[in-house]
Amino acid sequence: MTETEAIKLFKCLADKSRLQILKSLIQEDMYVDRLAGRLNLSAPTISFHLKKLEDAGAVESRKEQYYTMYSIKKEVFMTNIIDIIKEESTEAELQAEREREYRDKVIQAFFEYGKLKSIPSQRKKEKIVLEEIAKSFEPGRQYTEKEINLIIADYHDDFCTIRRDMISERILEREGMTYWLAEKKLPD
Amino acid sequence: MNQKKEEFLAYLQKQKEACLAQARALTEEDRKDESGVYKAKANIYDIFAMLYRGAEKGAAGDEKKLEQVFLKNAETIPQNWNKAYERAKQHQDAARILLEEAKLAAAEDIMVNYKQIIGI
Repeated sequence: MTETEAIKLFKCLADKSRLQILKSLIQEDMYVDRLAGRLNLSAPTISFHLKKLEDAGAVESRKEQYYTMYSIKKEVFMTNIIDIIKEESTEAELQAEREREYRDKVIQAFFEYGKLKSIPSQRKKEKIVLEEIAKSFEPGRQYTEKEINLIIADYHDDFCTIRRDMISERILEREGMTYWLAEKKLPD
Repeated sequence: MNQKKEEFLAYLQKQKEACLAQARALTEEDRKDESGVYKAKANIYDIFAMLYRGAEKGAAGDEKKLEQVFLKNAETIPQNWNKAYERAKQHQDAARILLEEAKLAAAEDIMVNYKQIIGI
């Protein structure tokens, strides 16, 4: 477990409702309504906590007929805390982790349900946003301008600005009216 | 009529305080996320109090106009929350669903009580 994963898990567990959900799930797998009834909380409240627990890696879900069943990920709780504390990260790993966190923050702030809310004015943030959109392009494939515009328009109406900025940031390459993804690797 | 107006504003204040008290209790119980939902709900009672006072000022003693303006705003403003709620449901955004549902529930509660207090 990385330091970031451990912090996310511990933060998630520092909540009485979530601990109660885990206490129920340690007994048996359950679906939202059953947990809501047991813990006297509303179904949306339970769904919210389950999502947080799932994101932190503490529970997992599976479809079962009409229900989504949730179960505790026991292996996560078998991890020795001493092992988490002892885990050492190199400076390069920590730097990469910080960059990933920053990217995630920017993406969360500027995208909503897969749409770009606005084009960031800060260049560093805009580059992250452009790289995220560029994940929709297939490496090695050549696109016409119309195809490029259509893909970008799925994210934001101002596809001209985004297309031009992708060229100036060397995320896209262009020759005449043909475009392709630059060969550098996009961040995960 | 003034008494009814005061009664409505007092109801909004009371509900806001109740939500804030619930938020504090939840924070003390280490349920911070649920506490945040009650704080958002408290904010809705505040927004409607501001709407009512704004409408009252604009109406300058015209009771009919006060009612019309307030009802119009009270109907328009939650429309965005409703849209956000539908979008959140569509994208299974559990955090947003919880928040928008709480806001809409508060708005509905306010309108039921407004009609009861004012006597529509």
